[in-house]
Amino acid sequence: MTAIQTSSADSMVAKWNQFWFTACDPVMLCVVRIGVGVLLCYSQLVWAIGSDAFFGSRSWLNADAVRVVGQGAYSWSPLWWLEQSPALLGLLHVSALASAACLTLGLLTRGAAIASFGCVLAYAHRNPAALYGFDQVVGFLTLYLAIGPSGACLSLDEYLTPTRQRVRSSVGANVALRLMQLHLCVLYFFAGISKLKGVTWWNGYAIWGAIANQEYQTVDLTWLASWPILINVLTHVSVWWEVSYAVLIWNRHTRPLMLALAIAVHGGIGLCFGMLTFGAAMLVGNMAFISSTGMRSMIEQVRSTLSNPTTRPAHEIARSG
Amino acid sequence: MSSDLCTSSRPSSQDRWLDPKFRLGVSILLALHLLAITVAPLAMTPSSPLLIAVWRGFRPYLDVLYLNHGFHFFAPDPGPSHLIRYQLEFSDGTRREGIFPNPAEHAPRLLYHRHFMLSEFANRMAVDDSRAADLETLSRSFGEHLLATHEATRVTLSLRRHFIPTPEHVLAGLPLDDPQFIHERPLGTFATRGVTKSPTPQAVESDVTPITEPSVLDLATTDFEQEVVR
Repeated sequence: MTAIQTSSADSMVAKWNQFWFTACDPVMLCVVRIGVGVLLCYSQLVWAIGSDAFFGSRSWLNADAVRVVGQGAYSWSPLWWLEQSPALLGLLHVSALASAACLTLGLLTRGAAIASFGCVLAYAHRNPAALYGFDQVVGFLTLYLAIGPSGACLSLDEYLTPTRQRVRSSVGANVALRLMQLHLCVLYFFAGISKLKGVTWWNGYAIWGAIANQEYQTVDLTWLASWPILINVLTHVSVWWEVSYAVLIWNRHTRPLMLALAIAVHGGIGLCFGMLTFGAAMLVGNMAFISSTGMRSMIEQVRSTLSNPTTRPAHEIARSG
Repeated sequence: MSSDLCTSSRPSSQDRWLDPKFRLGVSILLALHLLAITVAPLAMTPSSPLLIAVWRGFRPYLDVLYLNHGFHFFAPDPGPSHLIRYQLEFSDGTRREGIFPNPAEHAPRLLYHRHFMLSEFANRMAVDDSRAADLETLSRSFGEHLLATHEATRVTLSLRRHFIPTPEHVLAGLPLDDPQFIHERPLGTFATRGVTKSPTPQAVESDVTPITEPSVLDLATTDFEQEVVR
């Protein structure tokens, strides 16, 4: 091996190590934890509302149906044991909700994240045909929260930890955030290129397919039929944003545009097509790409204000005399 | 390029992360994980024998951790919606009709979507001739649930496909639920005694006219805001 090749290999290893193993402020991981925790609480409440229909002895999907839906996929779940016992089923729902609440509050966070991910798996394997993008995104985000120190700040765990022992910098947090970032890139990249096989994403009418879909529609946008150019613009922007996301999100100059489009696309889908939970899950995931600097200073400012509410900025004091 | 996302570039004080052997082990696991989550969408139909073989190697890992996702949202084109219409018959001879998902019955919205995915799954089987037996199994499961929930004696199911009207249709004044945009296909009739499917599924009485020509935006086998399952 030549010296140039050795140097190049060393450089690649150094970049890999820098990418994965640089200690990082865990604050954004903790922000994601709160968002995922809230979504998990809501999801568990909805599962509990539909408990009989999805987990009871006469549920929509019996064991044979789950087998054919999964086509040989792994489908073991403790929920199969509980279908004859509404009381135990109710207890499981309460436990799942409690673990999601602990994750949100950051209480015993590592255990809560592992338990929450276990619940996500149990519910998903029991009802594989009742899941969609929301469950997929919340699922992998919860997994990564269990890997990193997601309770290091903005949590009861932090409050209960002596100041000197608090985590201000962590490689584990960086690994968890990197996994979230890369998983999102995989998601958007394949969501984008899979659309390139479709005619309507090229002829500019794909968004009309969502607008005129009565089963998804929550806001009537069919007046856009008179504005085909607008439909074309929405379609083209959506697909090119998804296709380019995996590249442009890493550049600090184009990242704000990518995140602004994420808010527009997911917010629009959530509000107009009744998929608020899916949109919220995607936006929570996108928080992994927000720099922790601004978030940390904002948190410190809020803390400072809360700890000394009488403190006012100097210019305000000067103005009021 | 992405170092600005990480505010601290100080070396970790956590000793294990400085150990090259630990880093190597973690790096291998990370690389395998990233390969697994990337090969899952790559192995979706159409795919090469190579990618399918690699995906099969990772499948237990992907399945157990619920990571086996294709992420083909709204792809290749936004298509029609699929619902299940059912007609219940009771011991006193009365009949009642219903449909799922039903926003009036399945609230909040997340519960509606969970029911919506059930009917969309039925369609995935319905468009694949090789999965006729699977569709029957799924329909039977739906039938059992409806019979038990409503204490009915018989239930007849049909798959309703709601095509997407074009902008021209809407500009011409046609409502989104105009009968010409709705097509139904019988799934079968199921009874309480042993919950057996009738040998010749009865078509439900329908006030809608089946259409043979899909609308411009429809590609009958496409999925809408969900991924195709292998």
